[in-house]
Amino acid sequence: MSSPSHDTATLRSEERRAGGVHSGRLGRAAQYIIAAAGVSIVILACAPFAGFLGYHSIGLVLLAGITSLSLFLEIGPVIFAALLSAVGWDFFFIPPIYDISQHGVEEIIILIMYFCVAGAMGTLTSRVRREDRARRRAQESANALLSLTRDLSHAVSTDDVVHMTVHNMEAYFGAKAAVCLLREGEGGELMQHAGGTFSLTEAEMAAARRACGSGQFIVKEQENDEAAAYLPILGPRRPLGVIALRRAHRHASFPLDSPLIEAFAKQIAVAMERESLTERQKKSGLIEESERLFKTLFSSLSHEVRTPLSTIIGASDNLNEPFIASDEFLRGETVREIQGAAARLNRVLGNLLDMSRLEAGFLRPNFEWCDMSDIVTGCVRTVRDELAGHPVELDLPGNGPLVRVDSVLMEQVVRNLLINAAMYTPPGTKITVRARPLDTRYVIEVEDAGPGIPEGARSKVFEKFFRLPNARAGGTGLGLSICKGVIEAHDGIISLEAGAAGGARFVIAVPLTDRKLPTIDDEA
Amino acid sequence: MKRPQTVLIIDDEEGIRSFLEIAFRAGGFDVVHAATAGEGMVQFAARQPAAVILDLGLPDEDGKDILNRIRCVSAVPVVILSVRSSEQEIIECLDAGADDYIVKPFRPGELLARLRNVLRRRMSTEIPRTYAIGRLSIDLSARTIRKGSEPVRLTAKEFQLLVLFLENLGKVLTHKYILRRIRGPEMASDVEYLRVFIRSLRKKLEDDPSDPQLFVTESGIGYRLVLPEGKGTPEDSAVP
Repeated sequence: MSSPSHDTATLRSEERRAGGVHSGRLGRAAQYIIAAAGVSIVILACAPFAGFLGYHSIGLVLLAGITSLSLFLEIGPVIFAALLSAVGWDFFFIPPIYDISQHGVEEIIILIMYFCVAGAMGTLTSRVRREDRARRRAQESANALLSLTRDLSHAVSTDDVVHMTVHNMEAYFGAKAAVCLLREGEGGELMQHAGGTFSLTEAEMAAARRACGSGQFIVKEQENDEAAAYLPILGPRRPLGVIALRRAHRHASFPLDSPLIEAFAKQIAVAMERESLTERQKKSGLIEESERLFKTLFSSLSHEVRTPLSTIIGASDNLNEPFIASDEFLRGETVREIQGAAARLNRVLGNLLDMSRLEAGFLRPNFEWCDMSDIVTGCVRTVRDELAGHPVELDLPGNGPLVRVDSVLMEQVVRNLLINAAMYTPPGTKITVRARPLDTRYVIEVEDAGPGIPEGARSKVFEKFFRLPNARAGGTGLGLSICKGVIEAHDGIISLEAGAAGGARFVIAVPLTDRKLPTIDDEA
Repeated sequence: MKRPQTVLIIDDEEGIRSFLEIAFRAGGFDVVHAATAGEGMVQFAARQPAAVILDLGLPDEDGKDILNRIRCVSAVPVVILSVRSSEQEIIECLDAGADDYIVKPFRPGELLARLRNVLRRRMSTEIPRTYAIGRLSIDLSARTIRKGSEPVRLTAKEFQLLVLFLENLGKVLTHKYILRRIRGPEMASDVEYLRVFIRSLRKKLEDDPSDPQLFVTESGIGYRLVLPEGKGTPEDSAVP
């Protein structure tokens, strides 16, 4: 991409952009100097042969020189070179040498013909070259636009669109870009997006606001580090924002003020509009979903919170009754009721907090190497009270691999499954917990010998607030969806199968990182 | 008659202070309480309590800062009250010198038991050299351990770990603390090593290694050596 034509084009555009008179002459002057130098070199090179070559042959050599100059000079300098070489030919080679005026008719005709041929050839070559360049630039613009469109079509968020914009601006215009987006709504503020490669100053922000307000592309002469151009992104209904550009280097494929940049802006506007619509749609979907959740939450909670609360209020009132207070058995029963209700309330609130942490995305596992057997036995110990009457059988490896999990969260999952099994099966039903490595996963199964869960409902049990139609009171319908959330945060899977005895079998599988157990390096 | 020991309760929740006061007075302690960190520090200086119960969620100051301020002037036992899911904070407090922690909601009886344990540990200036824990009899001076009548052979590092647990009987030890003591400060984050280490210790010392009763895991925080209920304590454990 660094053909001479290319450099010249950049040079010219640079002149135009800068608009300065001096730099304009310099480029053109350089071309004339090159033309003069080229002709002089060819004449000097031919000089030693002047003695034994006829001036006709030397004329052809000079003609070849002009042709080669026309390959990289503009028309003006080429004609100038043709004129110069005609004069030089006449002066140095056509006898009488070192004399311009004393020629016969033939020499004059040859000289004029020479100039015409040189001029025409140079002009034609130059024109062909210019057309070729125009065609190539059109091709490049098309390619640039195609690349941008392709990038933008892969964007899945406004952030992506900004990223692609910045990237393409750098690639094709050699410019650092900062993107400001206009907030929606009345009196929306123009806010700079974090994805740009520089941050705008107050003055630059003001210019960006002007560009956004007027919808006009503003190109400024670059001073110091100021942004050189402000390109408004105009959506079909409203301006969406502004791209501020700072020239980063001179070797760009396109000048900042080429028509291509407007096409870029249009493509970017389309992509932004698309993303903003998608985001809005997603948001309204979320609002709908959260409204539904809110309703379910309220109907479920008012029941789940009020029931244990009424027990606590009622039972503590009872404690004030002299009749109950004086009877040791009744008092003990009442206190146990209060304790039971408080534990239930605590569980409901714990579930709610966990759920909201999961929903809000605050739940980030604190991964550590853990001994799964240890986690399971820890759980069984902490839920001993809730498991009352349910025998628990453990089938755990004594020397299994360590697994990278969050032990606190993992314990919570197993605990939820154990409490679930104890709550929804008849008293005395056996619960079995098995743990073992299986291929690339570590699997924990919590199985009960209860009535099981009908096949149609198995995939639904992990949904928020789902409760089996005949489920007994005391659950929030959140426990299993919390388990699912936690296991998914571990890149694991949780599923429900039918157990061997027809009961429910919950299976958790988390990835097992292949790693040897550390050896303890000491002597007995 | 022995004067009752004073316990300072720093908690902003009126209800918790009042039920703890009832429980502690019933347990034979004298109680002072404070609702804020500032008030707590004033009470601490004025009453010189024998132990402090410190809530982490105070309105005016971070619990850890108060702990540090107490630790600057005194080695008094401190038990932390905390809510679930603040394991990191609990670990920081334990590493900063807290003696124990308990997670809300809790039973006052449990807190009282923890407090007594901490006080007992603090009072015994000398670490006993012999222990009888469940079926285990341990003689640190002779470096012999028996499980029932069977002798148990521990490696040097395992013995070192056991001594660390015995020195802190009933106290939760954070992963970092154990690793720093056993392997040195540069290995303090190698939890993996600790898991395997504990596993081998359990295998040698527990009756049922898959259901440990002595070396109990405190999820996300550390380990604790507990005495099986109603079985030997260091005081009455003189093995002939």
